[in-house]
Amino acid sequence: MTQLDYILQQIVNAVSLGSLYALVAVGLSIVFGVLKLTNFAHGDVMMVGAFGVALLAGAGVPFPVAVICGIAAAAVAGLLIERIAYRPIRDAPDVARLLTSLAVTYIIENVGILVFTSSPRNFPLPDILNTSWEVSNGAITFTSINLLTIALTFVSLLLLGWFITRTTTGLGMRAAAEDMSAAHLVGLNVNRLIIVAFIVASAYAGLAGILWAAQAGVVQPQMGFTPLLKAFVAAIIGGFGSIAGALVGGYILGALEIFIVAFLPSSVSSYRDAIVFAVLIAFLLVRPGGLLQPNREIKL
Amino acid sequence: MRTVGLTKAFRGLVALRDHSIELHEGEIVGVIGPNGSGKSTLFNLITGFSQPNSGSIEMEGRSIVGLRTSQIVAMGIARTFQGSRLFGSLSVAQNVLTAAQLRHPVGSADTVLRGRRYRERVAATRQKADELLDLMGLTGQAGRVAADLPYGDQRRLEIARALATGPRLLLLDEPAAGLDSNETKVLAALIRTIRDRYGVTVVVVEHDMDLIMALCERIQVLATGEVICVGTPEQVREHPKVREAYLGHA
Repeated sequence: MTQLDYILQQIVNAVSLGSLYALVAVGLSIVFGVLKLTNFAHGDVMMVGAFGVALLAGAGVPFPVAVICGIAAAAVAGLLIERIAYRPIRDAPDVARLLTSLAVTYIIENVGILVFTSSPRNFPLPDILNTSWEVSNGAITFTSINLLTIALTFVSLLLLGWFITRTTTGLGMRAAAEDMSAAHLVGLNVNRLIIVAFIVASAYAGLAGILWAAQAGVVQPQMGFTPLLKAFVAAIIGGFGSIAGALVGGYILGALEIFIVAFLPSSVSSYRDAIVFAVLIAFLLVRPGGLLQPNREIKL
Repeated sequence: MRTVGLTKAFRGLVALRDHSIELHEGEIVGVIGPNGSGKSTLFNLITGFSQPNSGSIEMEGRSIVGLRTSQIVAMGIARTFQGSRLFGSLSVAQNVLTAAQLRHPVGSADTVLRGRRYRERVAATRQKADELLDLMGLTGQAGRVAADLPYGDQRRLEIARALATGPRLLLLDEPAAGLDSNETKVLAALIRTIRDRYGVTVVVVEHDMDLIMALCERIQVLATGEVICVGTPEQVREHPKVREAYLGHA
C-alpha cells in the first residue's frame, strides 16, 4: 500500500464519518434555530429510526420499505416529543427547557431498555450493502454502506437546501429562527413552522440513526448518545443554529477524528476524544460564535 | 379601529392609563410624547404583544383583545418596530415575500404537488413583493442580504414588509429615527403615497416633531401614560399642556 493510497483511504473514511455527523448536526441546528432549544432527545430519535428498521427488517419486511418506515417512525417520534414535552413549556426559562430535553432523553432510553433490554441486537443489513469494494488492487477498500452513507447524505442535504431556500415554509422557518416576534408580526403560523421543523429534523435523525446502525452492525437503546455528543461538537464548531455551519462542522469533525487515528502514533491517538474536545475548547476561545457566525456568542 | 379606556400597568407602574382613540379610515394620525409616555406600550397592546389590564380594542367592531399577534395581523393590522427587526440573513425580496404569503397562502401539499393553485399564489406573492419594493425604491437591492442594507433602506424595507401583509391599519413606531432631515422628508412623502394608494389608515409614533407636524392630520399627545390632548397640528402646537410636557414649563 502506497502512502497516497493510505491517504485516499483515510479521506473516504473521513467523508463517510463526517456525513453522519453532518446529518445529525443539521437536525440539531434546525430545532435550535426555531426554538432556541438544545434538543438532547435528538439522539434518541436516531435510535427510534434504527430500531424501527431493525425490527421491521428482522420480521421480513423488505429493507428499503423498512428504511422508509424507520424514517417515518423517527419523524413521528419527533412530532410527539414536541407536542407532549416541549410545547407546554415553550415560554419557560431556558434552563427549564434544557432540563426537559434531558428528561425526555432519559425517559426514551429507559423505556427502550425496559422493552428491548440494553444488550445490543443485530442490525440486519442486506448482503448487497455489506459488500466491500476494492480500488487500486485492494489498497483502498470501502463497503457499499460507506458509499450509500455519502450518497444519501449528499442527496438529502441538497433536498434540505432546496427546502429552506426555495419553499415558502422553508423561508418562514428561517424567518422565525431569526426573529420570532417579527415572524408573528408578518402573520407567519409559527406553531406550524415549529412542527415542520421537528418533522424535518427528526426525519434526518432517523436516516442518520439507520446509517449509524448499519455501519456499526448493531442497535441498542443508548446508541444515540455518542453521535448526539459528536454532532453537538460539530454544530458548535460550525456555529450553533446555522444549518450550513452544522454541515461544515460535521465534516471537519469527521476528518479530525479519522486523521488523528490515522496519522498520529497510537500512544497519542488513543486519546482521540480528549484531543477533539481540546481542539474544540481552543477553537471556541478564538471564535466563540463558531466558524460561520464569528460575531455571535453561543447561548445554550 | 378604536380603543376605549385602555390601561396597562407593569408591576404597579402605569404605562398607559385610560387611553381612548377612534381612527377614521384613511387618516394619518400621530401619537407623540416624551420617552416613557406609553407610545410603544400602546402599539404592543394593539398588536397583541402584551395584554391590557382593562379597556377594549376594536377593529371594525370586533374586539381583538386576547387574540394572538398572527390573528391580529390577519385581521389587517401591521406594525414596524423601533429600530430594525428585519430578517437579517434573508434577502430583501425574501423579507417581503415571507410577509406577502399571508394573503396568498400555500400549504405543504401545494408545495409538493406544484399544481396550478400553487403557481398562481406564488405568482401573486411575487407580484405583490415586486410592487412594494418598487414603491419603496428597493428594486435594485432585491437580491441583497437585508442586514447589509444601509440604515435608511432597512427602515423602508421594514415598511414594505409590513405593507405586504395587506393591512388596513399600519402602525409605524418611530419610522424617522436615525434618518437625516432629507430622508425624513422623503419618508413623509412616501407614507402619504402609501395612504393614497392603499387607502390604509396610518398611526405614527414619533419623537421627530417635524415629521409629525408635516405628515399628520390629527395628533394625540401622551405624557406619563395619559392622553393630554388631541387635535390638529396647529392646535397641538399651541396647547399649553403640550408645551409643558415637552419643555418642562408652561
